[in-house]
Amino acid sequence: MRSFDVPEPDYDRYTNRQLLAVPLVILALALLVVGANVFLIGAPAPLGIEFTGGTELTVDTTDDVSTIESAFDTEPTDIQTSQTQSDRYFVTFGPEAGDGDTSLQEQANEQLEPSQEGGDVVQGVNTFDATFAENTQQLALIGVVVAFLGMSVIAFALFRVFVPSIAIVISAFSDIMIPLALMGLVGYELSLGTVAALLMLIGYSVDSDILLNNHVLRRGTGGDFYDDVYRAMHTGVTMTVTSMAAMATMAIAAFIFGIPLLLAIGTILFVGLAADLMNTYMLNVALLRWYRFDGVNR
Amino acid sequence: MSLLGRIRTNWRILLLVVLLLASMFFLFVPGAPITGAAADSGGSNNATAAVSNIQFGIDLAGGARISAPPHGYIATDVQVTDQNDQAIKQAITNTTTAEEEDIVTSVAYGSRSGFPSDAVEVRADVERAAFLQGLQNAGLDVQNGDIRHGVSKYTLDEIIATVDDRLGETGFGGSTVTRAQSPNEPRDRVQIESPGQTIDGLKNLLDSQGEVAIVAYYPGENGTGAQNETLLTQKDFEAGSVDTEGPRPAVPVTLTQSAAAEMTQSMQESGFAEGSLNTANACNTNDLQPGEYCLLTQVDGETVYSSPLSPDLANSFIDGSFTDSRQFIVEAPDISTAQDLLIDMRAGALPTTLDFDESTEEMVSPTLAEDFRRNSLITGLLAVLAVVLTVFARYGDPRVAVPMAATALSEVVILLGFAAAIGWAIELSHVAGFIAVIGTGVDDLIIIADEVKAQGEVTSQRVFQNRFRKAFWVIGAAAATTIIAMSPLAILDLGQLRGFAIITILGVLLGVAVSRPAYGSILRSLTTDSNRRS
Repeated sequence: MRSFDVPEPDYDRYTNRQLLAVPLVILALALLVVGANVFLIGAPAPLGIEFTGGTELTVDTTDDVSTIESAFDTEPTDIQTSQTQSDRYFVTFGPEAGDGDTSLQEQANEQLEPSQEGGDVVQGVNTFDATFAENTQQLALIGVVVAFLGMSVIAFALFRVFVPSIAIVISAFSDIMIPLALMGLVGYELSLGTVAALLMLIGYSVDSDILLNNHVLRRGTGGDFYDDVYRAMHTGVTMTVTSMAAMATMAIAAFIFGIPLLLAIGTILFVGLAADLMNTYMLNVALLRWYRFDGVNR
Repeated sequence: MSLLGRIRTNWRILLLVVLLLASMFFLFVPGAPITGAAADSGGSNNATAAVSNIQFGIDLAGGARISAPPHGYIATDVQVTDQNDQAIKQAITNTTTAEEEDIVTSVAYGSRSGFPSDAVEVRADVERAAFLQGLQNAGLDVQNGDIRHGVSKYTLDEIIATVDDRLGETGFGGSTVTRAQSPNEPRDRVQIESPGQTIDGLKNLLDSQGEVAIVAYYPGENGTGAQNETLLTQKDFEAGSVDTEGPRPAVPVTLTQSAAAEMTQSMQESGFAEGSLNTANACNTNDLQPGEYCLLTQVDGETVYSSPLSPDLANSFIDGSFTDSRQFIVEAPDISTAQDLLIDMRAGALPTTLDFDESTEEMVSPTLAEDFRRNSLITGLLAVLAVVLTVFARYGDPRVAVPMAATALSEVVILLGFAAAIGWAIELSHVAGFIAVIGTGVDDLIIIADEVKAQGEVTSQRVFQNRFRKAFWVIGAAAATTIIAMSPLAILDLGQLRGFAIITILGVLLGVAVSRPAYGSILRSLTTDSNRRS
């Protein structure tokens, strides 16, 4: 017994121009946000300590936030409370903190009350040196660019025709830019985890695009364009929705349990996959329809 | 024939089953892993080793990780020869805080593997400009661009070997020391990982250079004042184990033949042996008096203990019998100092100290690690459950959905088995990679299922093969792009991202080669007519 079926939109009612307009306008808005962020803060979204340098302490203490705030020589830039453990806090510092005689850990252990008698206050430490972080930033940028170029080359090698190949590339680009813009809007930080998620999006995004292109172009059934699209959609939407379900679950569970890496990956992939649904079945379909009915004859 | 035929048509399923069994073996049979050395080195992270052979990394087992560059600069492409070697060293000590022994050049080191043939290296925390000034003062044609913040590969290897020895001597079980993936970017780095340790504990162990020296303290030539003469450093002797029997904790050492001869000679020539017999020596460590004859135990130039020479030993220097016994005792004020001394003696001195001001550090307490381990497992299982439920909701046919979920999970089991077999420590980022593998895996399985089920019932083997091949083109293409997208991360030194990328790539390869075709075969057995031709 099926509890969900993939809808079959009536593509005939919309012109290519109409179909293209929505994803392109959204992409333009996303690029505007990303561009503005690059202009204002020098990065597409706020950068986490892995890219700027700094320290994050995980502390278990009975003290409250204001006590934690004043416990250190350098004031923390951010204090977050754990969702599951009320006495666990994540305290973030800028790159210059803890350079003095006593380390941040020592300060925390001296100034704060452990939540367990005789236990440790500091449960976790992550320190990233500023110079090293800057290098990480460059490496991550190189990684994303190389991955994207590699994907583009493969796309062109697979289909060897311009319009369907560029459709894959634009769609993947948009899939990355939309979550990136949302991150910038809500102030979600770029970390190694979010970069991994953005790269993972390339893989997921291309899956459904290749599937669609394959059904329309390579299968050569010579059948109806819309039949081909609908069959690709049946499979492709199932794939994407399944992945979205997994990512949403992972993000929610990781949020509750306080595992930032998994939360970041889950959230970004969920948003990116939603964007991919739009890009694949509006942008790509329109480009393919134009190619099939107008482009080939030229 | 029938059996053989079945094997032939279902070999993909068989391969998957064989891999699964092998994984189970490596996961659960004690002692099965090929590299099990780290697992049984009595660490505190073995709470989980009882359940399976999987080893956990720092963030899932608890422990500390430091990645720090060594102090120092190296200038390459310089004209350093026997003639100007001494002058160069002198000039650098004049402009920087470095001592002469902190400076090494290609004259002495050029023949060693990893040391450039035209370089001057200063192994100390000095200013770049001061180092450049020193080189220029020595008449060398050096520009700022010829100087790199870091040390030669030779020195870096020596640091890694020494740190490794030191961790081994301390019993920091399961510790590993490696050089960072990308050299010179922006500086060379030494990466130290130690399960069950804290950052402060690691730093305490690593922040000293650990140069042990036995120094003679005795009156100046005219009988007044005091002078120091280094008699031995740790390369001159073999250390025994800490002896707590005597009045003071001590480390007995045996000198090398040449060191014993040299020490005897200098004890005779300086008149130390003679003098110490004729003087009352209190040799109070914190209050040495001029005129006393004392032996000082120094670490990195700091005196940790001083004692007079025993009359027996003094006599053995005078009559030369010391060169036969070569036995010498290094005393310490307390047991912990004696143990520290022993570690330094055995591991040797670090060529240069590590720059903890520019280090990247990670520490996870055992409590937090346990939380991560349990919670990431639950998170992963929930994500898998979501996938299974979605697939059921979509297909409603257990013959499609059940093998789908089983196949996707088997990929993770095989990857875990592989990790256990080669002793790969699982980290949090790998968990994310596993979830990604399930994600792409299920995507591919959906493609196969839809393709095979499309256009009515599958009636024959040939129809199935045909459809399966069509489905596989898409899967192969998608796998190729995922691997291309992930490969920069697998190569670049991006910390936790590397593990994530490597797991994802391995999972995709495994999926395309084994498990996803096997799912096709399972689906065929379940959907084609049971009375198949054999």
